[in-house]
Order: sequence, then structure tokens, then C-alpha cells
Amino acid sequence: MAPEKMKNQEGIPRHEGYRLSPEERLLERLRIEVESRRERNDLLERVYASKIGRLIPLAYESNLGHIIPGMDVAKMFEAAVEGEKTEDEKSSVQRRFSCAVIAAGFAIAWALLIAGEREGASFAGLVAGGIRVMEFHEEMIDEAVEKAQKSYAKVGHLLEQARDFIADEPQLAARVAERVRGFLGKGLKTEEAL
Amino acid sequence: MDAQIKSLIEHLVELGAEEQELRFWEDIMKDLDDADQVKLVNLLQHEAIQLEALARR
Repeated sequence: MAPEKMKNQEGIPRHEGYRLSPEERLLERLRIEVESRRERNDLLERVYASKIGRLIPLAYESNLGHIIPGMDVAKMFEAAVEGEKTEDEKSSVQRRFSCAVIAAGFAIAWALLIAGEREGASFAGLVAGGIRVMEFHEEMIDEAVEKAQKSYAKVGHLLEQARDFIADEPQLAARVAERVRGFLGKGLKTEEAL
Repeated sequence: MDAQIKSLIEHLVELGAEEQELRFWEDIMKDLDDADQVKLVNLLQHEAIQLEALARR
């Protein structure tokens, strides 16, 4: 094997016999963490995408779009899944949805909690869990908004609202998430949470 | 499967992986279907193998 093929992208030899310096060890650990998280995020994105279609009618029927000032949950669903009408954007629905659901997760969880749907409630648990991740990775929100603003004007506008709300009301977002999770954990109907 | 995922997460935390993100997966694993749970197990196992190898170097 050629010497360059025995090194990773950072130029660190791959074989276990090589003793890593502290700097190389740190670089390797970071590489593993980043790669692992990216793969898990791909899985999360697919899980979200597979469930979201069934929840669009619920968001519309519940007419809860404006329950959180400045945020329209139904429009977020629509923007995330339907998006613009160009072929290019249709082909990137999953990516757009991923951006939207990260930033707007707490609003979706809130709407589903009030809607009182068991199926929706299950998904709310998933979203609420995502809020915890979001809470610790604020840079993800900025990155999502930046991408959306550049590529998808419609979603970018909604994400701006979501980002501002998160910045203004982070504790509310966290409380909503915990409330949803708490009631789901007790096996109660979501309407009993109100 | 649930027990396997929990065990893997505990192992990864012991290996120094970031706990908060892993706990999130522990929380939502019940919402994953069987195929996605298997996928998650594979991903967690892969990270554990890499971190174990790193620890030996």
C-alpha cells in the first residue's frame, strides 16, 4: 500500500502500532466525533422526514398557526415539506426539512401537544428531544438559517422568526419541550396537559 | 434492542463521547422503528470501535 494511503485526511498514520502525539490524538478524536454525529444526524433527518407528511393536515386542522407570536406552524410544515415549486428545490426537500425542523422544533411540539393526537404526540416527543440537542448546539441554528437564507428564501424567512424567538424565549422553548416530554412519559393524553 | 442501545451509549460515555447528544438518542429510541434502531446500533457500535482503537494508540 502506498504510504499516503496509510494515512487519514489529517496525515495521521492509520495503523494501531503508531503512537499518536497528544495533538494527533485530539485531531483523531474530533474526526471521529464529527463523523459519528453527521451519520446520526442523517438518520434523524430521515426519521423526521418519514413522519412529517402525516402531520401536515393536523397542523392545518388544528388552526394553531399563530399560537406562538410571530410563528406560523402550518406554514412551517408547508415550507419545510412543499417548499418552492422549482425542480431544484423539489429535489432538496429533505435538506430543507432538516433545516426547518431543527430551528422550528419547539413550535411544532407545542402545536402537537395542543392538538392532542396520539400519533402526533409520539412525534412531538421526537421533536422535543431534538430541542434538547438544539439547545446545546446553537451554532446549528445559525448555520441552518444562513443556508436557508441563501438557498430557500421562503424557509429562510420562517427560520429567521424561529431563530429570533429562540433567542428571545429560550426558557419557554425548554419548558415546552419538557412539558411535552413529561406528559408523554406518563402515558397521558396530550389534552390533559393543558 | 432498547437495552443494547442503552448499553452502547453508556459505553460511549465511558470512552469520552459527548453525553448530551447521546442521551438524546436514548430518549427517542422508542420512536424509531426496528430498522432505524438497527441502524442506530450500527452507528453507535462503529463509533465505539473507533474510540476503543484510539484509546489503544
